[in-house]
Amino acid sequence: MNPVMKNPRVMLMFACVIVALAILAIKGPAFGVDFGGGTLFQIHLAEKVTDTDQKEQIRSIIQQRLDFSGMKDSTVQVVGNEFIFAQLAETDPKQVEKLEAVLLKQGKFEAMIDGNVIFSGNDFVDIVKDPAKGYGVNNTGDSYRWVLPFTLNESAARRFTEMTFHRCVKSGFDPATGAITYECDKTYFFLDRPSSTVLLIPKSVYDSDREILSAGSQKDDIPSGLDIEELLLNANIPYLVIDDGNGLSAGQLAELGDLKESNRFALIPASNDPSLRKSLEGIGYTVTEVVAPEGTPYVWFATGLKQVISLSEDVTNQEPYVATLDDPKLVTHSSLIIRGFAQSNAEGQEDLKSLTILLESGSLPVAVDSISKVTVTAALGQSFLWTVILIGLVAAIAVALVLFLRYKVLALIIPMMFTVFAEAALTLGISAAWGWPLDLAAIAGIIAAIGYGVDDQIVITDELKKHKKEEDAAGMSLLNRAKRAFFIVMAAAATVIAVMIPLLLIGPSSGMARLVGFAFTTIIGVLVGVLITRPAFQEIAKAVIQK
Amino acid sequence: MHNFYGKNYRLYLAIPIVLTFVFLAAVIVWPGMTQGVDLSGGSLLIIDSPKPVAQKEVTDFLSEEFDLVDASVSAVSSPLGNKIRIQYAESESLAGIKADLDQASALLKGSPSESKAFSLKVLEATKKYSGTDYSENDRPEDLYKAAQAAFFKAKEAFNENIKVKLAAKFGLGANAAMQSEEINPVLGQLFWQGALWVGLLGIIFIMIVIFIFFREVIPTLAIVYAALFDALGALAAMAFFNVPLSLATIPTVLLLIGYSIDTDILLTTRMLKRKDGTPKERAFESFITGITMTSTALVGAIVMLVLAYFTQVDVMFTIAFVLVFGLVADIIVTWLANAPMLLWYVERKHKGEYS
Repeated sequence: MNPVMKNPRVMLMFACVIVALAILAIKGPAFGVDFGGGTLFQIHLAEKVTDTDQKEQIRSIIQQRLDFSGMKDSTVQVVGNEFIFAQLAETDPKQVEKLEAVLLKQGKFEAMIDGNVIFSGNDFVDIVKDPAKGYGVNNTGDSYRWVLPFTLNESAARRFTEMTFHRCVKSGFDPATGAITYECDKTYFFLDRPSSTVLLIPKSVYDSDREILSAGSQKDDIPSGLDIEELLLNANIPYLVIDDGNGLSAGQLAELGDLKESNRFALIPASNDPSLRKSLEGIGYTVTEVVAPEGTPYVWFATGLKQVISLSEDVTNQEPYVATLDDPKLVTHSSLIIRGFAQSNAEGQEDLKSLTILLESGSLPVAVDSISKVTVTAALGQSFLWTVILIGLVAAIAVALVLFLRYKVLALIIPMMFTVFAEAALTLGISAAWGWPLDLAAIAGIIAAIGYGVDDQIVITDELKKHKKEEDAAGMSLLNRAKRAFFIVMAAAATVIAVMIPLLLIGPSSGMARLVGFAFTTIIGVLVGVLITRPAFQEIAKAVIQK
Repeated sequence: MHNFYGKNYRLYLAIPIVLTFVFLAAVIVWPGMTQGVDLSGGSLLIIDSPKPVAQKEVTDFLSEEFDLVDASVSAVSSPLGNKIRIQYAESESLAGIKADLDQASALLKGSPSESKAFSLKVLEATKKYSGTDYSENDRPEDLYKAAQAAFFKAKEAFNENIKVKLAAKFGLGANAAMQSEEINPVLGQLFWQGALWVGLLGIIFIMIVIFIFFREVIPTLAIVYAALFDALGALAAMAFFNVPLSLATIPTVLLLIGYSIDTDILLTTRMLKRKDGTPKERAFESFITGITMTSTALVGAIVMLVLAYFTQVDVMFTIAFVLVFGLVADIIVTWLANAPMLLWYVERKHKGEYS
C-alpha cells in the first residue's frame, strides 16, 4: 500500500466517506418536492408572528385542516415569522386546488342531532381554554381525562336544552356501585357539511362502510357501534344506495331528477368507471369525486363528519327531575363541557387540541394573506433527479478532461476526482443525517461547494508544483508552500461562508425561504472541504508531486 | 504562452471599465431585466409531452380557449424529451372576480352593505360554481364566505380546465408528468426586500473577511469591484438573452461571487505575500493557475447549461446561465482589471526594487 494512504489526514477522509455512505444507505436523503414529487404550499400570514406558542398553534391548526382533508402525512412547518410551509404528496391539480381552499378559509362547524343543527360555529360565546376553569388533561389514576368547557349563546343554549331533553334512558343498574346506567343519544360534529348536494353510495361501499362504522376506527376517532343510517340521517343530505356496475335504475333516475330541483351537486366515490359521472351530469348535476383516505369510510369523509360525541345524563336529565319542557324549573344549559378519556397525557392533549380546533372551525389567530404553491408530479420529480445525476456526471467528466489537459498526470487527476466525489458524499451524508430536505436549491449548493473544491485543488497543486520547480533554488520548504496554499484556501472558504450567512439569516423571513437549503449545503460543503478533504488531498498531491 | 503583463499593462484596465458601463446600461436602460413567475407572480406549467409539439399550435390554442394575460409558451424537443412550458400572469376574468372579492373582504368591517354588493357580484359571476344558495338578505359575512368558496371553485375549475383541455388537444394522457407553480405576487415583493439585504450584507461581509486576511484597502476594494463586475456581467447577459430574473438568480450570483473571489484571492496572495520573481512574473503565474480554475468551472457550467436547456430544469438552467456568463466576465475583470491594479499598486509600493 502506498505510504500516503497511512497518513492520518487521508485516513480521516476515507473514514468520513465510509460513514457518510453508510448514513446515505441506511437513512437515505430526504427528498423535497422537487425530486420526491408532491405539492409545497407557501402560506404567507397577514402579520408577523413572533410568539413561539402562537407559531405552534398556527402550525397545528394548519396541520389539522390538512388532516381533515385526508392529507394525514403532510408536514407543516413555520418558516421565519410570517411563512408556513406545508408539504404533501398530492399532485392531482383538482385536489391541490381544493386543499388550497381548505388552507385559505375556515370551515363551517355544525353539531347535529336527528339531522338538525343543535349549535354551530357561530353559536359559541366562548371556548374556554383556561386550565383554572377546567380546560385540560388530568390524571385520574388509571387513565387521563380531558375536559373542554364552552359557552353557548342564549338561543343556542335554549335549542340545546330542548333538543337533548330526556335523550338518555335508563338502561340498567351497576350492582357494584348502585348507580343507574344510561343509554344516551349521540351528537354528530361536522365540518363543512355539504349542502345542496346528493350523496351516491354504491352498495359495496355502503356495506364496507357499515362494517367499519360498527367496529369503530382509532384512526379517524370513530367510536364503535355507529349506525350508518343514523349517520346519514344526521348528515341530513339526500342519498341513494346504488348497484355496483349496473348503473342507475329507472326509479333512481326519476328520484335524482326530482332531487335536482333543490340540489345542484352530486358526490360519488372516485372510480375508474366514468358512466355514473356521465349519467349524473346528463341530469344536470355538478359531480365531485370524493377520494377518501385508505381505511376511512366514504360516508364519514364525504359528509364532513369529524367527531361523534355522546350526550350524558347530566345534561339531558334535569336535576331535580323535570317532566316537561315548559316546567319553570327547567335549567337552560349555556355552559357545557365535552370530556373524554385517553391512555396517556400526550394522547389526551392531542384529542383535546384537535376537538378545540374543530369547534373553532379551524380558525387561525392570524389571517392568511396569500398562498403560493408548487406542484411536481412524482414522475417528473424522478426525472429531475435523473437529469441532475446525469448533469453531474457529464460535468464531472468534462472537468476531469480539462484537468487532464492541464496536468497530464493521471496519478493527480484520480485523487482530484475522488476528492470531488468525497465532498459530494460527505455533504449529502451530513444533510441526510441532519434531515435537511434535498431539493434543487440544495443540489445547487453541493455543486457550488464541489466547484470551490476543484478550484482549491488546482491552487494546492500549482503551489506544490512551483516548489518542485524551484527545488534546488533557495525556495521555501515544502511545508511552507503547503501553508501558503492553505492561506488561499482558507481565505476563499471564509469569504464564501461570509457571503452565504446573510441568506441563511434573512432568507427564512423573506420571500427566499426556499433558498435557505442552498446556503446550508454550500456552507456544509465548504466546511467539509476545508476540514476534511482538502488537507487529505494536499497530502496525496505532495506524495505524487515529490515522486 | 508568454507573459502578457508587459510595459503597457495599465491599458488593459480600459476594457473592464468600458464594459462596466455597458453592463449597467444593459441592466438598467436597455434591454433591461424581465422577471420570472416566481418573482412577478403568476402561473407556470411545464408538461412532459410524449411527442414534439409546435410552439405556435399551443399559443394559438390557448389564446382561442382562454383569456390569459401575458401568456408565453415555449416548446423544447430533444432526445432528452419534449417539454411544453406555459407561463401566464392570470386569467382576465378570474382576476376581475378576485378584485371584487378582495373589495368585499376589505369592506366587510367598515361598510358591510358595500361589501355585500361586491360579494353578490362575485357570486353572480361564479354562479356555475357557487356551493350554497344565497339571497340578497343574507348577512354580509355569510355572503362573503359563500363568495370566497365560489371563487375557489371557479379557480379550481379554470386551472383544471387548462390542463384537461391541453391534455386532450395534444394527446398528453391523463397522467402526464407535470410541474405547476402558482406564485402570489406578495412573495415577489418580499423577495426584493430580502434580496437587497442579502446583497448589501454579503458585500459588507466580504469586505470584512478580505480585509482581515490582507489588511490593505486598495486590494480589498479591487476584489469587491471584481465581484460586482461579475454579477453585473451575468445580469447583463440575462437582459440580452431575455432570461428572466428568478428566485434562483440570487443564490447563483452569490455562488458566482464565491468563484470570482477564489481567483482574486489567489492573485492577491501571490502579488502581496510572495517575494519570488518579479510582480509581473507572479501575475502571469497566477493567471495560469487562475485560468485553469475558471475554465474547469466554465466547462462544468456549459455542460449544465446545455443539458438543463434540453431537459427544461429551470433552476439548473438559471444557475448554469448565470455561471457561464459570470465566469467569462470574471476572466475579464480578474486578469484585465484586478491584476493590472495590483501590479500597479505593488510596483508603486516597492518603487526602485524592480525594474
